[in-house]
Amino acid sequence: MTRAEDSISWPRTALAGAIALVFLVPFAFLVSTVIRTPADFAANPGGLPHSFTLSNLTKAWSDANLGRALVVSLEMSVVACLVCVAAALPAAFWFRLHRGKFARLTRHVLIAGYAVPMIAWLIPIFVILARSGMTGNIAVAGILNGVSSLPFAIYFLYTYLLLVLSDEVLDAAALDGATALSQFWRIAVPLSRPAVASVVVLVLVWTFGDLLVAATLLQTVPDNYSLPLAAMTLATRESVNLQGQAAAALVSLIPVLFIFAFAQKTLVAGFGGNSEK
Amino acid sequence: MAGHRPFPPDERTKKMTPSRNGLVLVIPAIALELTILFLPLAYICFRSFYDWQPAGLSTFVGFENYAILMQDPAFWQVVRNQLFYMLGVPLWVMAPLVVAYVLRANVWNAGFFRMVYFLPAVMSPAIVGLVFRSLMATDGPINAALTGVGLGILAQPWLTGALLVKPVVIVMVLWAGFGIGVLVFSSAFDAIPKDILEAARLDGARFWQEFFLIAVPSIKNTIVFWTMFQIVAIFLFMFGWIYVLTGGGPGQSSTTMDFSIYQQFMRFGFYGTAAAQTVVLVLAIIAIPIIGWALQQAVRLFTGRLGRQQVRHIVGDAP
Repeated sequence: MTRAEDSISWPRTALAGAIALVFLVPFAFLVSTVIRTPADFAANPGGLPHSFTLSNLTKAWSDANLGRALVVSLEMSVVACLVCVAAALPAAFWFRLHRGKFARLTRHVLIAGYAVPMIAWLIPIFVILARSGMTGNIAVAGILNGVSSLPFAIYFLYTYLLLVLSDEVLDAAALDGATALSQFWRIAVPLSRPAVASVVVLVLVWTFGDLLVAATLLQTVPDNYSLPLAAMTLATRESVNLQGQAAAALVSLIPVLFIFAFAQKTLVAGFGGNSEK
Repeated sequence: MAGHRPFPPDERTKKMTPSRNGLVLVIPAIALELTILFLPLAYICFRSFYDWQPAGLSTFVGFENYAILMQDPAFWQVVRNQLFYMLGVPLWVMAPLVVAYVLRANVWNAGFFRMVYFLPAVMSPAIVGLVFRSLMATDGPINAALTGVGLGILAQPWLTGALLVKPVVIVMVLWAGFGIGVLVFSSAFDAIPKDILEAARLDGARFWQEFFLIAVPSIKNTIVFWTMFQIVAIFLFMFGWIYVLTGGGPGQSSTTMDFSIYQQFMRFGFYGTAAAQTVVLVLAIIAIPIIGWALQQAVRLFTGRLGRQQVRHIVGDAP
């Protein structure tokens, strides 16, 4: 281990593999809990499965109405992504154009919105919505999720535009007499496609993962439960056994596993990208 | 309007063309954050001085809500919990940092391993909480497996024992956030100029020396950033975990600030004191960057002054 950049160190690889097990074993446990018959599970809950059944999965699917919940989560995520990107990208571009005192202050305040605890703004909103009978609305829940990601999205897109958009390009466009609006459509939108993809995937993941907005706003309308809310509600029912809980969790993981499989690179860029200062 | 402009015409066009127009680009973002984040926040601060009854008449009570809060043992229990969770911060920072450094080179398929670690990051804390709640139930698979291999003494009431529940939550949060940490630190390590590390190695620096004296100081901004992020997360994003994993229990022993506020609002209807508690939470969050700044100064003092001398000793006087 003294030199050689390209030689493989097996002790290090073994360590990496051992850590990977810590992440994979719980999922193996989960799958093995779900696919066993109740009798097999009762006989030896911690051992290897000796039977195979999909009935736990189908039961959880129908008991928690997870098909409907999946649709709700999707609708909510689409609204959240639209709201977030439609507001964040133009704002980020405007901040790229303008570096004056007012612009800088506004930028800092909008990004600082990240640190406003969700619970602090959600409750007053809930009170207002409840008064006007608008709780249980999927679109509203989507908008709220989108806005809660807005500070991050502005920060992320602004940082990206700083990297890819030079002052020369902007000056040239300004000399051509292009207005800020047309510069936005002709330059910023095409250029920032990869960063927008990252934001979309992140907002998708976060909205799929949200429990707080859903538990606050959608609790009263079982037909509009999002995926985590539906799974959670099923799992906390007294009558549901461990296998039922595990099955609800497993089914709810499948959509994000799809996102993960298809958008891995984009996701990593989103998470790792914000670290580069 | 063509009168006396103080600057020459070309200067004027330069200043005029890009500015002024385009304000419409930023207005949606301002409007959304103002109406959904900042105005409600202001409103809750305002209401914290009232006996807030959303459905009826609210009366002004001054600081009474705060006084009630300060005398409430449950509130102090939550504060203690929050401080206890802060004990997890060194773990949440060091574990991904060391592993990212080890994986930095000479590991077969390091990218694959990073992906595996990253997997929990895309999953809902609520769902992951559900997974572990079923796995760690007293009569669940983990305890059964421990008993099965003759380690029955290690079987524990993981989530229902007041002593164990907080450490278990800390480990859960580590499990969930570890992969992002590894990614963040890996890309930071990649940015260190290779020759610095190589020079140190040729001079015979040992692994830990290289790690603490060169690698860590080179990416200290990223480390401070990540640490802050973890601390903020402990205050802001614990709701899903606690709600599903423990329900705040047993008793109040694992309740976090955001979960406790949610419960007071949505379950007990103590709106006034809940608003006061929200203000306390916001003040705590404002204090974090200040503490972070102090931390950075401390880091600069130790690694900067003391460390740089030793680094120089090892690598020679690299610029």
